[in-house]
Amino acid sequence: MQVERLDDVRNRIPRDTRAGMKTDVLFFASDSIREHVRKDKALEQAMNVACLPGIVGPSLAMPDIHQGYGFPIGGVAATDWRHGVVSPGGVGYDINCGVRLLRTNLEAAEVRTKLRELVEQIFRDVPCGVGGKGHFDITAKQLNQVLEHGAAWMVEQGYGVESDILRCEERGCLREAGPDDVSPRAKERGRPQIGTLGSGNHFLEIQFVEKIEAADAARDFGIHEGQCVVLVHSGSRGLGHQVCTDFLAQMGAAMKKYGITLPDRQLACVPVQSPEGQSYLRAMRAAANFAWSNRQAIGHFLRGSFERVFGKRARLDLVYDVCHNIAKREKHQWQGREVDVLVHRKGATRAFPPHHPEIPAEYRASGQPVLIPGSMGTASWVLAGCQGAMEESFGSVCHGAGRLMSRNAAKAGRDARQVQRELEERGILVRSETRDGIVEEVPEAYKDVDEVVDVVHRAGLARKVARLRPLGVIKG
Amino acid sequence: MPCFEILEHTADTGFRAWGSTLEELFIHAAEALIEVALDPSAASAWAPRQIAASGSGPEELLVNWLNEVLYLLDGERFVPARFEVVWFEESEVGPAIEVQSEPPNEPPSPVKTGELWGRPPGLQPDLEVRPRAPLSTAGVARDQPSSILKSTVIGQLLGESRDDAKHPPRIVVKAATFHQLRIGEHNGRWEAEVYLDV
Repeated sequence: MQVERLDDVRNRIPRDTRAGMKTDVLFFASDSIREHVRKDKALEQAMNVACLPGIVGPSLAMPDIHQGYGFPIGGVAATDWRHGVVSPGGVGYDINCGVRLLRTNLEAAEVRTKLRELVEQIFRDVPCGVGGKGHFDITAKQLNQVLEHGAAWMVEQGYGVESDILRCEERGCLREAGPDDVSPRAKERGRPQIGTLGSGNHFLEIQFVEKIEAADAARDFGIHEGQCVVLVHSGSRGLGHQVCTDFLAQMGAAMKKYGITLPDRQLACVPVQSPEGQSYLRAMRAAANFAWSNRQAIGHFLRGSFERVFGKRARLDLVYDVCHNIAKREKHQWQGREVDVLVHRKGATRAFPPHHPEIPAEYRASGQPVLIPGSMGTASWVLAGCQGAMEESFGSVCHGAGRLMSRNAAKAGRDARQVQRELEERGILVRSETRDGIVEEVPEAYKDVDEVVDVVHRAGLARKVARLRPLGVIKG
Repeated sequence: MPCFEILEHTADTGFRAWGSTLEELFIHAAEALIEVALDPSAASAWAPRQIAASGSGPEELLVNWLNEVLYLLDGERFVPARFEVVWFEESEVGPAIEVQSEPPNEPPSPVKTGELWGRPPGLQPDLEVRPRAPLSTAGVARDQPSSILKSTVIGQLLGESRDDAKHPPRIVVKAATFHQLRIGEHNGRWEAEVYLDV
């Protein structure tokens, strides 16, 4: 496969590389990341995405790209709202998997003195729900309200404060959600899981701000060096998984109906304007709202945990909440004209630049906060969206470190207790529901998050604001 | 001969399953999926259940079947301990789109599995699959083109309600996918490879 190096952070696979490609692949990567990524099928998948009917601009690959299902993880594709397609695979099974960052009024030094107690308290208060159940017992009617109103429903029930809503992407709710488009079984699978963290790569980290890289944005985001913050990585749980499964099952027949053929069944898509496409989008929005109410509930439980350990004075404020598996209708400027597109972000984060109306007023001068979780025990980043993202990537950047190693390879020759001990020696406490949860997510299984972030920073898609380091990890 | 083995892939987990018949393959694939999600060794064959899935062609049928098993685990919170019997039926002819003539570029049968969905060379499975075979085993619809056939797989099983203490959970499986999916018959033995998004 021919990958043209354009500059030190940009690479291109031209559209004439393979028949069926309607556009180029633009791949943001340093030389070392590019050579790593070439080892799996991620770039081939990005080329398949370039075959989607109605794709606008290039098929985009972020530096954290790795092989996924149909779409690569770390891929972005904008399709024409009128004449393009929507692909459930371009959103993924974990609809609105995302990240929420809360800042505390505590310093890391103080938190360290009660770290073990805090980790245990959070582990009790925030259910991982590997087997299923959380703290909520909501009725079918309440679930429909969750699907329609997202994070706001939780706040109305007393789980959080009004300002939480203002600091979520889309204010924690996608309008025009369709609870009726979500199958009864998706609701049944998800209902007991509301307010649970989930397993796999989902986690919750108590962190401290290690280094501020942009003082202006850090001030706006309310973070300073040495401060304790908490990062939550979770999604729509079984409800979102089932929505994706249900729609993919219908897509085979629907694609024949619309005469669409694609190189990969998992990439299945239908016209945005078709009844199937519109129904999927309504169901996807409902699942996204479920995920926001989920992270809202977890954020609320966290406030309780901190109060129990540090007393009433402990305060947690939301910095921001982003989703990184989603398809959204947005207006962009592309090659000098305004385009109305459906931006699929599969393992990619929205990164709107300063002064964009979608950003909360308090952050508008700095740009949208972008939260990039690293692998367990390494570092995470807070970035701010830049104008470059609007010009090159439909307002999108990477979403994480990007997996390098399979779960089994990560497990091979590693013992959960040993990994735990090694992390503890570095001052990081880990508490996991399952042993596999620890070894599968060892830092070596992922790309270096610093290198990933460096690429998007140098490419001008987003700028570095702060590097966060973990103190304690809670996972499923 | 083993019934299944667990496979791996950078971001996810999968399995390879075998069976002397297609019915047996479907049972072993279901068992592999359950094994990935939890430890079913203590499950009692107590309460009967019946599950069914439909699809056009063996690939779709297998994926939909596995997602049905997954729903049983996660949605109904029920752990199968033993599959009693699995069989295939031709389902009712669906709406107009199901009986349209084949698209002109549809490959003739028998085909390699991947070609059903136009997969590019290089991702081709090396097993040959005849989409009619599973249906002829069930004794139905031999002479229809494979692309419009729709069949149903039905399974009867015994198991019990899910209890995390008794059936320790392992990994949350999001879904069975079409990614690098293979199903075929080789020297009288059925084999399938499935990747799960976890």
